[in-house]
Amino acid sequence: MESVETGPPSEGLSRLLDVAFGFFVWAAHFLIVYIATALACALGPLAASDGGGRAALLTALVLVTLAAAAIVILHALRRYRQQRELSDHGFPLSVTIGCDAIALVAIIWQLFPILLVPACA
Amino acid sequence: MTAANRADATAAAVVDSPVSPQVLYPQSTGLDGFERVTAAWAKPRPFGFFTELNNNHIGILYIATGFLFFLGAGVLALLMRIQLAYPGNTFLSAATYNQFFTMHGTVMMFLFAVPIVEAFAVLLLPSMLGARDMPFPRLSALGYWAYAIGGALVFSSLFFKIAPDGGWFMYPPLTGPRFSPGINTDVWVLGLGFVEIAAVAAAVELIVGILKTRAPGMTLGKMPIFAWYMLVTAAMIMIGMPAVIAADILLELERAFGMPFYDAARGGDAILWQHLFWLFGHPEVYIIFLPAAGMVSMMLPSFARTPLVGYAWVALAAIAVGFLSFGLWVHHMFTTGLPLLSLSFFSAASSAIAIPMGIQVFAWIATLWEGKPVLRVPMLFILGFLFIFTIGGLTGVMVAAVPYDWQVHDTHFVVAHFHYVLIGGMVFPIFAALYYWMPVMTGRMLSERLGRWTFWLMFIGFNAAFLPMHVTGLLGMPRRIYTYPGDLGWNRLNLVTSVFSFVFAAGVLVFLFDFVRHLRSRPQTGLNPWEAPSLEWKAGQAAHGFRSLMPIFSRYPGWEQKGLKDDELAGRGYLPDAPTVEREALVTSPITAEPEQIMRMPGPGWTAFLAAVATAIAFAAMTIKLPAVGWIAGFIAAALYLYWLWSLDPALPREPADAGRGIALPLYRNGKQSVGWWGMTVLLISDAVVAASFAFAYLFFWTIRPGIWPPDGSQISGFREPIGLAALIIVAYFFFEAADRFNQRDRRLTATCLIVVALAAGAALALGWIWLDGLGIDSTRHAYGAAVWTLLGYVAVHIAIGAAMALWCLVRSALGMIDPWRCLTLRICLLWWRFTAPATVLTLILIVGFPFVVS
Amino acid sequence: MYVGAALVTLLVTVLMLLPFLRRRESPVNHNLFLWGGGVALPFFTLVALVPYVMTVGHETRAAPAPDRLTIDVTGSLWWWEMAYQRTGGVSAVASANELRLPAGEPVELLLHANDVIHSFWVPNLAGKTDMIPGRVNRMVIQADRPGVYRGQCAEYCGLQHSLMSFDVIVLPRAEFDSWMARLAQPIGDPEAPELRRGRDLFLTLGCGTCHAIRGFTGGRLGPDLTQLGARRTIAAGALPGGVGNIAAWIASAQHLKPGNLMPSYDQLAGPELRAVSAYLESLK
Repeated sequence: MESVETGPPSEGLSRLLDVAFGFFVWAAHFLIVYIATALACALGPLAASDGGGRAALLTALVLVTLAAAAIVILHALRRYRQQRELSDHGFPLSVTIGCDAIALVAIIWQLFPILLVPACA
Repeated sequence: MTAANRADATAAAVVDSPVSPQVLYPQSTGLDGFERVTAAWAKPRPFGFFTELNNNHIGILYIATGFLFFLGAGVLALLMRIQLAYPGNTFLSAATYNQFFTMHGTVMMFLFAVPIVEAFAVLLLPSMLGARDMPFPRLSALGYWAYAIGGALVFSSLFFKIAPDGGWFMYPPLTGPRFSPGINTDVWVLGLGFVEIAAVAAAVELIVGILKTRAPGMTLGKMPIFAWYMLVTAAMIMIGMPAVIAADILLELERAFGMPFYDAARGGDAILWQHLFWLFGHPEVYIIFLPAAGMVSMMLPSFARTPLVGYAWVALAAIAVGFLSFGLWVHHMFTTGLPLLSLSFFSAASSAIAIPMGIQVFAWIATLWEGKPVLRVPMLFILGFLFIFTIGGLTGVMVAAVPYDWQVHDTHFVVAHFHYVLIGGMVFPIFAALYYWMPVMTGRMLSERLGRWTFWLMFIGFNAAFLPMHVTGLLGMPRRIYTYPGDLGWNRLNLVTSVFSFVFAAGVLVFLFDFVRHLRSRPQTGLNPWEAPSLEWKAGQAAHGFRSLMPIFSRYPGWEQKGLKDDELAGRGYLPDAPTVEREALVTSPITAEPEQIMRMPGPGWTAFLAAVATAIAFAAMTIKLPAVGWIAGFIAAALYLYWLWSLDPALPREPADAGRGIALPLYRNGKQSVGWWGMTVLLISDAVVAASFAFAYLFFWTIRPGIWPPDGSQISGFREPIGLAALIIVAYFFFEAADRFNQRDRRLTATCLIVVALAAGAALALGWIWLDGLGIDSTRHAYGAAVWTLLGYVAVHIAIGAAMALWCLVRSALGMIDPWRCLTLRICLLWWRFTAPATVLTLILIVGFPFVVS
Repeated sequence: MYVGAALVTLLVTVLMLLPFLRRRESPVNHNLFLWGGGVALPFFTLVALVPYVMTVGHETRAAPAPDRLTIDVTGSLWWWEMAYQRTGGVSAVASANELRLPAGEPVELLLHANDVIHSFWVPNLAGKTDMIPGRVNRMVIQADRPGVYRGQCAEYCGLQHSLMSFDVIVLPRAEFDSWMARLAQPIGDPEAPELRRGRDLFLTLGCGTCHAIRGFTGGRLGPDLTQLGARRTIAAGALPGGVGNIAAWIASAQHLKPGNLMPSYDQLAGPELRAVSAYLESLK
C-alpha cells in the first residue's frame, strides 16, 4: 500500500482566476476610462468648450473600449478552442465563456455614455 | 470512466484491502473509531459555551446574535415610525431621532445583515461541502466573539445617549472633530472596527474553506451552488471591506490627531470619504444579497423536487454580480457635482447589472416550472422574496438614471427602494432559511400554521408600509427628517406607513412566539423533512457532523448517491477515526478536490474568546477615554495573540498517516498547498487594498488642486534617502528569501540571513524616521502631509512587523521548531515580506516620484 | 417607466405562481427562460431605456453664459444665504432663507457650503445638487411660471436638518427687477417711536453682531434680515412669518429649533420684545 508522495500538482491561482479574466479586463477598462475622464475634466483643458480636446478624449475612450472588447473576445475564442476537445470540461468552459460574454457586454455598454453624454458638463 | 464509476471502483478496492501496519495512526472503521471521533468533537462542559470552536456551535450563536440585533434595530424603526406618524409629532426629540435612524441603519447593515449571512455560511457550508468544520476554528470564534461583544457595546450606546448620530454612512465634515465633538462618532468607528475584524476573518475562512476543504471528488463544478455564492461573497469582502477600513482609519486620525483628510479648509475633501465608503458600500449590499440568493438556490430544488436549472448560468451570474458591483459606487454620489460623463459610466453599469440578476431570477423560475413545487412556508417566503425583490430591482433601474436620481436621491423614494431590495432580497430569504434549516439547527420543525401567519403579516405589512413610501418620496419628502410640515400632503401616507410597519412587526412577533414554542418539543435526529438533496441534512445533530468523510461526485448527493449515510456511518469514508482523539479534517486541492493532507484542528479553548474580550475592552476603553484600562486590556490582548501565534505550526509526525480508504496523507504541508499559506494570501490581498486606498487618497488630493504639488510648501528634496530606504528593504526581502532557501540546507546560514533581515529593517525604520523628520512635512497642516505620514506610517508598521517576524523565526529556528520540513512559519512570514517590500518601494516611488513628475 | 415596471413585476409574479396552480407535463424549455427571460428581457429593455436616459434631464448642467443672473447660495447650519450678483462692478446683494427668481429665464446658481454638506433642492423646479465645503457646484435653474415654491435641504446636516427649508418666489421679470432694486437699498430710519425703539434695541442687544440689515449693521454669522418682514417664513422655514412669530423666535429660538446658533432672548420684557419684533416686521 503506497502513500501519496507530494500530492497532485498545484492547481494554482491562475487557473481559478482565468474564469474571471473577462471581468479583470472590464475592471481595468472601467478604471482607465473613469480616471481619464476625471483627470481630463479636473485638469481644465476640456472643461471649457474646447471641441478639439473633447473629441480627442472621446476618441481615446472609444479606442480603449474597442481594445478591451477585442481582448476579451480573443480570450473567449482561445479558451473555446483549447477546451472543446477535453471531455470533462463542460462546466469550466461554460462559466469562462459566459463570464467573458457578460464582461464583453459590460465593456461595450460604456459606449452609451461615451457617445451620448457631453464630456465635462 | 466517469467520476462516479471511479469513486465506486475505489470504494470497492478500499473495502477489500487491509491497512498496512507501517502507516502512522491507523484509522479503524469499527465502533472504537466512532467513539474516538465522537470524543474528539464533543463539546466540553461546563464552559463549552465560551470555549467551543466548532462551526455548529459558533454558527448558531452567530445566527442568534444577528437576529437579536435585527430585533433591536427593528424596534428603533418602529419608534421612528411612531414619531413620523403625524406632522409635528414630539414623541422623539430631534437628537434622539437622529441617533435612532443612524443606529437603525448601522445596526441593520453592519450588525445584522452581513453577520447573519456569514453566520448561515459558517453553520451550513462545511457540512454542505462534506466537511466537519471551517479551516480556522479559532479565527471563526474570534470573529464571532469580537462581533458579539463589539456589537453589544455599540448598541448599548443608545442607553447612554452617546449613540452615533451622523447617519449610517457618517459623512464628514458633519462627523469630523469640529461638528461632532462628542464620542458618538468614535463609538461608530469602534463598532465598525469589530465588524471589520469579523468580516475579514470570515472572508479568509470562506475562501480557504471552499477552496481547500471540500469533500474529495467534489470538483468546483459539483459543489453546492451556495458555495459558489459564498466564494464570490468572500472575495467581495476581501476587496471591499478594506476600503471602508481605510476610510475609518483616516476619519479616526482626523478626529483624534487633527490630520485633515476630510477638511476642505486644509486641503482635504469630504468627497474622499464618499468614494472610499461607497467603494465598499455598494458591494456591501451585494455581499448581503448574494448569500441570500445562494440560500434560495439551495432551497428551491427541495421544493421543486428537481435540480436547479442552469447551475453554470447561476454560478457565472454570481461571479458577474461580484465583479460588476464594484463598478456602481458613484451612483450614491450623483448629486455631488461630479462631471456628467463620469456619473454616466456608473449609471450605465448600474443598469447593466440587471442582466446577471435577471439570469438568476429566471433560473429560479425555470426550476419551479421544471419541477412539481410544494407550497410550504419556506417556499412562501421565497415567493415573497421574488415579488418584493423584483420591484426593488426595478426601482433600482429607475434611480440608476441620473436625472431621475437627482430628484429622488435622499428622499423616501430611495428609502423605499432599498428597503424593497434589502427586506425582499435578504430578510425574506433569511426567514425562509430559518424555517427551512431549523431542523438542522435545533432538530425540530417550526409550525406550518404559525409560519403562514408570519409570512402574510410580514408580506402585507411590508408592502402596505413601503409601497406608499415611493409616493411620499415623489411628493418631496426628504429622508432623515424627524418631522415634517402638515400642509404638504404627506400626512396620510406617513400614517399608513407607520401603521403597517407594526403589522410587519407583528409577523416577526409570531415567528418569535413560534420559535420559543417549538423548543418545547423533543429534538429528532436524522430529520430531512424537505427530502433535500444536499449534505447538511446528512450531518445529523452530532457535533462531529460526519463520522467519516465520503467522496462526493454529484451536485445532489442526497438524491443521487444511494446509501451515502450508511457508508458514512460505517466508516467507509475518509478519516473514520480520531486515533489521537484530536479533531481531524481533510485538505483537498482547489479545483478537483483530490485529498492532499490530514489537518489536525484545534479543539475547544479559551484563547479566542479571551482575546476577543480583551480586544473589545481595549478599544472600548480608548473610545470612552479611559486610556489606562485600554492599555492594560491591550497588553493582555497582545499577550493572548502572541500565545496563540506561538502555538501555530506545532510539531507533527513527518510520515504520512492513514487517512482511511487505503490511502495515507501527510499531516503537514509547508507550501502553497497548506491552508495557512492560503489564509495569509487572502489577508495580504485585503492589506493591499487598504494600502491602495491610502494611495488613492494621496492622488485624490492632487486632483483637487493640481497646480502646486506639494501644496503645503514642503519639498521632497533629493532621492538619496528614499533610494537608501528602498535598497534596505529590498535587501531585507532578498535575505528573507535566502533564509527560506538556506533553511533547506544549512540552518546557521538561515539564522544569519534572518539577523540581516531584522537589522536591515531596523535600519530602514531609523533612516526613514530621520528622513521624514527632516522633510518638515506637517501631518496636521494640510491633507497632503497627512496622506504622506499615513502612507509612510503604514509601510513602517509593516516593516516593523516584518522585522519582528524575522526575529520570531530566528527564535523558533534556534529552538528547533523550524527545519527543512517544518517551515510553514518561515514561508508565511516570507509571504508578508513579498507584500511589504513591493508595497514599500511603490509607496516611496509615489511619494518621491509623483511630485517630481507633476511639477 | 412605471407602467413598464408594473408589467415586469406582473410577468415575474405570474410566472412564479403558475407552477403551483397547474401541473406541467411537457418538458420545460430552459433556454427560453435563461436566454429569453434572463438575458434578452433585461438586455433589450435596457438598450431601449439607457440611451434615452443618457440624453435627457441635463438642463441643470447647461453651459455657462454671460449676462445670466447669477446667485450664490450658501448653506449653513441651518439656514440659507442668497447673494444676488449684479453687473457693472456693483457688489452683490444678500438675503436669506428666500430665493427670488425671474420667471422664464435660466438662472445660474453657485452652491457653497459654510460648514458641513448640505443640498439645495426645489422639487418643483429641478433635481438637487449638493453643497460641499471646499467645492463650488453650479446648476442652471429655470422657473417658467410665477408662483411660490418650496425648497428644502436634502442632505442630512445634523440636528435641525428637518427645519432647513426656504421659499422660492418666482416673479415676472419687471417685478423681480424692482424687488432687487429695493433689496439693494439701505434701510432708512423708521418714523414711529416704537419702531425707533426697536431699532435701538436691535443694536444694544447685540443682534447686529450676527445679523446684517443693509445700511445699519453688517454681521454675517446669521441670516441677513434686510427684508425679514416680507418673508413668508422665518428661521429657514421653521415658522410662518409675521410679528407674533418673530417675537416667539426671538424669545425662544432654542425651544423652537433646539441647537441652532441663536440663543433664546427670554430675558426680554414684553414691551421690549414687542418693539424689536415690530421693527423687524417693518423691514420690507
